[in-house]
Amino acid sequence: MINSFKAEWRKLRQRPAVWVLGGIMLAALILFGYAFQWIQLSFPGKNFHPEGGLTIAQLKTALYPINFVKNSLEGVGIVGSILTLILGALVVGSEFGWGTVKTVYTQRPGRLQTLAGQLGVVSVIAAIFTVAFYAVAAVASLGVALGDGATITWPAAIDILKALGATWLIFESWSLFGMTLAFLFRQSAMAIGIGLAYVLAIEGILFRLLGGFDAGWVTAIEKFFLGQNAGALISSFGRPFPNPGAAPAIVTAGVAVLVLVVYSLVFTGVTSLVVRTRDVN
Amino acid sequence: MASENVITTHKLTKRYGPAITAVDALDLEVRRGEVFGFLGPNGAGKTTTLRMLLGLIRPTSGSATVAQHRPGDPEGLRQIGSLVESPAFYPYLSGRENLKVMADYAGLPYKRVDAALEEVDLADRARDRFGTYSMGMKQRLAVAAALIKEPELMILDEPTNGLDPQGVVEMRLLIRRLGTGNRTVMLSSHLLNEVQQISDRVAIIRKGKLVAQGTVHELRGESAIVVRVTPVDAARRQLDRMLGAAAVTSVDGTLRLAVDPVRAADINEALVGAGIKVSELHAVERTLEEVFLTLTGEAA
Repeated sequence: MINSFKAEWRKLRQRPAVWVLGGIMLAALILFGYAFQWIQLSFPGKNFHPEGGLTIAQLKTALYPINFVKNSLEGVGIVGSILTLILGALVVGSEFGWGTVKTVYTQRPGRLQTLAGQLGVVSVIAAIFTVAFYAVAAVASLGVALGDGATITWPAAIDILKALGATWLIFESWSLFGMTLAFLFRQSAMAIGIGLAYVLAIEGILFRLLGGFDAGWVTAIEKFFLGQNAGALISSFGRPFPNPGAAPAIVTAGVAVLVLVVYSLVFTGVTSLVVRTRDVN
Repeated sequence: MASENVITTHKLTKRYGPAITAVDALDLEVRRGEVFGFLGPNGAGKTTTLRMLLGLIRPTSGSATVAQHRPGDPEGLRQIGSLVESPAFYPYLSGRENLKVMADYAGLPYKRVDAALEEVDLADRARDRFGTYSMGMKQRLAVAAALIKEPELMILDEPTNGLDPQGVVEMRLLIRRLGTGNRTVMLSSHLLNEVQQISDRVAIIRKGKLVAQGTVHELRGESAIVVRVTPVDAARRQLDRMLGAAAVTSVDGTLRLAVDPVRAADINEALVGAGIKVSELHAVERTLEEVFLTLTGEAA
């Protein structure tokens, strides 16, 4: 397995697409998490009226170091899930597209060892993305605070660690989902297409529409979905400032972690079965 | 030990649904140290067979032993270098980095990478990305990837595909070099002339079934004598009496005699003695291509 991990790491660390995805994630964080918000709050238009009676100064505290974890977590949801899903789909799907799956499977390690190496490296990349995500968020929040001359206070270390763990688990679950789809469809295009359709249409639009009915059965179903549990885990960290209009979390953080772990194990199991039994033509 | 088999298949079969039998009860024996040509028309089941031997696809029934292991066994794969259909590597990595990836998978030291690149004459382009390589270079890199394992068995599926004539000659020389010593090479190719030149033994399959297996000499087998004579009818009658009608065939104004060439002097003497003028008499051997076309029913 160490050999497979070394090989996968050599491949993926040199693959531009992997770091382009990471770069997009960080760029989205800086632009949408900090830059645009700071510009909007620093140079408010005449029609800008904060909701909930909050002042601009209160809203700006979301951008300062004390809130960098909570503020960044907002971006983990949809952007993080999409990009890590694409990561997983690309890592596996390209092997079928280039035909390298044949080359790899005729080297020494068995198929499951090769898969274990792939899973290991994708997990490491998800961890790198996670750490980079919060490192960039911390630097961005520090820059905003220094620019505004605000007091610099950091969240408790335990909160940062919890956020790192939760974010890694969310990235890991989505990347495994992408890998599973790519193994099932033996290509990246279909895997990415179906994955995005699932994230945007089912987890995004459908549940948002059904949520409007305020029906108990919708919540009961939602509790079993990957994106909804990822969202619940994110919201368990709270928001930088109170938002009375926000919907309550559908499950507790503990349940959300459990569901994400189960999803990860199921994806790994399905992938292992497919890899072990399927012919490679 | 000379006849020890490196590959043995027993009734190896692959079906795709009830209608398609890609490989049908194939019994193959590839012996240690030989270059083994594996021939068949398009769709005969060659690549399917090779994929089963490498563990890429599972047989529907039957069994195979490859390098003393079942197909796809990691310990067996350690001893096998292979190229199946087209060479497939990571286009964004250099040739050397691609080989390092393969060395990582196989748990091999990187020093073998440079040796393999030298062996296939790719050392000067080793830093270039695989995506920029010509087809010939890609094929050679695939051979290098097979070589880094210093394998006892090499399985090469159409290694001359897409190569220009110069590339074909280079690949033939390379395969011949690879086949020296104790290494076994199983080679599938459409280029029968190439196979004839470098193979010790060959197997021919058609519609998934084995139709012949043996040394190139055995398959080319029946040599013949061709005579150009006047008058032909009288010569034919004389030769029918002498050799039997089944051994004599008219071909383009000549008579083809299915007999051992050592009888050439006797035949000449008999014809001349009967007053027949013999303007040409020579021994001929069938080419592997002729054997192939006859056995596979592809002859016009």
